[in-house]
Amino acid sequence: MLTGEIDLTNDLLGQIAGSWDTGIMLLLGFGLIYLAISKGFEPLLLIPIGIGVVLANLFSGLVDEGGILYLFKEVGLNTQLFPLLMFLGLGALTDFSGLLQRPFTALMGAAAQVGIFGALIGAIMLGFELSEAGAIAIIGGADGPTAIYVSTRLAPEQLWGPVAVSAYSYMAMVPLIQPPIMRLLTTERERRIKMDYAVQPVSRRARILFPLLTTALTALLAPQAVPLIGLLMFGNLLRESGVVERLASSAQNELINVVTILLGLTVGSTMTGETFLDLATLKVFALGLFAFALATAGGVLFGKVMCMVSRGTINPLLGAAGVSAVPMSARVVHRVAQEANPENFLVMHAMGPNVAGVLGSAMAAGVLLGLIS
Amino acid sequence: MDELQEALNLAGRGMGVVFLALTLLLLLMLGLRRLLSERQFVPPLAVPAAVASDEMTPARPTVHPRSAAPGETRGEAAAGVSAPPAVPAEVQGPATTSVSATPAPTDDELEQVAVLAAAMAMAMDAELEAWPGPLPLPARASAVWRYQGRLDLMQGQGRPRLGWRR
Repeated sequence: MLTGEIDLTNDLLGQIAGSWDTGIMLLLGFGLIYLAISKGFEPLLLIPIGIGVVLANLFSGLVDEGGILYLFKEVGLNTQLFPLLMFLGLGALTDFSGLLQRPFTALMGAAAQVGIFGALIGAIMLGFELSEAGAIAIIGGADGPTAIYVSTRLAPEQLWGPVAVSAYSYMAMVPLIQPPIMRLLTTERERRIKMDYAVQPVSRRARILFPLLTTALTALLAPQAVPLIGLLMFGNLLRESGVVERLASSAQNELINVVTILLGLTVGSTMTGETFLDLATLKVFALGLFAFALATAGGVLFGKVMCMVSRGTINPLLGAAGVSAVPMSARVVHRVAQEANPENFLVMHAMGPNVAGVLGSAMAAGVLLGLIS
Repeated sequence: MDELQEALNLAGRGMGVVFLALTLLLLLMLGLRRLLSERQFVPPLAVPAAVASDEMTPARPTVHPRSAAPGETRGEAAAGVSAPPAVPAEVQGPATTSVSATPAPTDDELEQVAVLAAAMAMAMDAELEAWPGPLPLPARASAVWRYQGRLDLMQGQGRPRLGWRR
């Protein structure tokens, strides 16, 4: 029975009153739903996560063996099925043309991954074990499915929820986190650097070969990342091949929507009072913020290097888009650049490092899995 | 302490692998673009002056007819080789590269010319085989003629080039 062992005669109010952590978790769940609906913070994920939190804390039978949320967790998270299917859908949604038009921006996507490895060291210093530190560090990749994939492989179950919520929360807060760091690390003159955008057509053959060759390259360098990048690139191939419109459309819409609902609900259901309300959770959130900030700083500093090498033709703000919160960080780069120079339109330039960041964070995930597990 | 050291080690290796992977990806993308997305132009051929004017005629210095100098016949003056008339430096402007100043072709360039000539010869053969009537080109067996003709044609149209055309 998928409803689990629910005792409907249970005095719910008495249970909440008797156990303060359940009340706090319910508040947290409703808080996430509120933020998603009224503030627009990652609503696609935070509404299912919020509902998952509420359901798991209201009716524990749903998460106990036999309950539907338990079943989702067994099938989708313990096997990493849901994050992988998410990657398939994301691949079908992602246009790599921006990266193919400006290949040099790939390096900015690599530089921003310093956030992951910086957070790894930070987590060790805060007393986490190496495997837990790896799971927490991946928050710096600013990629929800990757964070869930790595945490379910490396960390104990009580960290899955905090890592996922932290990753999605900070992704939603990219417009608040990134601009101060970008302004701090760049001069007004650098922010004003105007980059003209000329459309450079990328041949269909190149767009088809790119996912295939990238998967092969990943297999050579970071085999543990092949499930993530392989499915990402499979989705992208569906999109770019142009001969399987129905499959590409399904991956972009139905598949990713269904998986988003199930993934959010299931991750939320792992956040029960006894596992979530812990000092470790606070540390995870602090490290997540540190990872995001460091990733932004790393990207911008590398952007400054590229600016110098290119004799001032590359705007260093582009480096901040290496944080792979697609397309949020690209928009933030565009906005900050426009504040300095209203004639500057960087959003298309920023899509290159942005999608390179997705690849970089998946590579980093593979490295963590390979070296830690 | 051991874990911290291990984490530092891991972070260094991790960043190395990520940078290496994305650098290789960058090279891969450059390769893909070069091979598939753009026309691949061969740099302008450094054609010697002799080839540029007429391959069968040796290059000659520029002759500037001038009027006879005192004590010199008009014929001697016409046959003589003189330097171009001197132009004051202030009106010369920046130096420009003339055909005669083109450096001698390098091995790479000669190889490109050879490849170009061979490719064109093969292409012309293929076309001529398919020609329905009697061939109007008696000199078709001459590789030099083919190459020169093609080169002239291309120079009339623009830069000679190799590679995919779309």
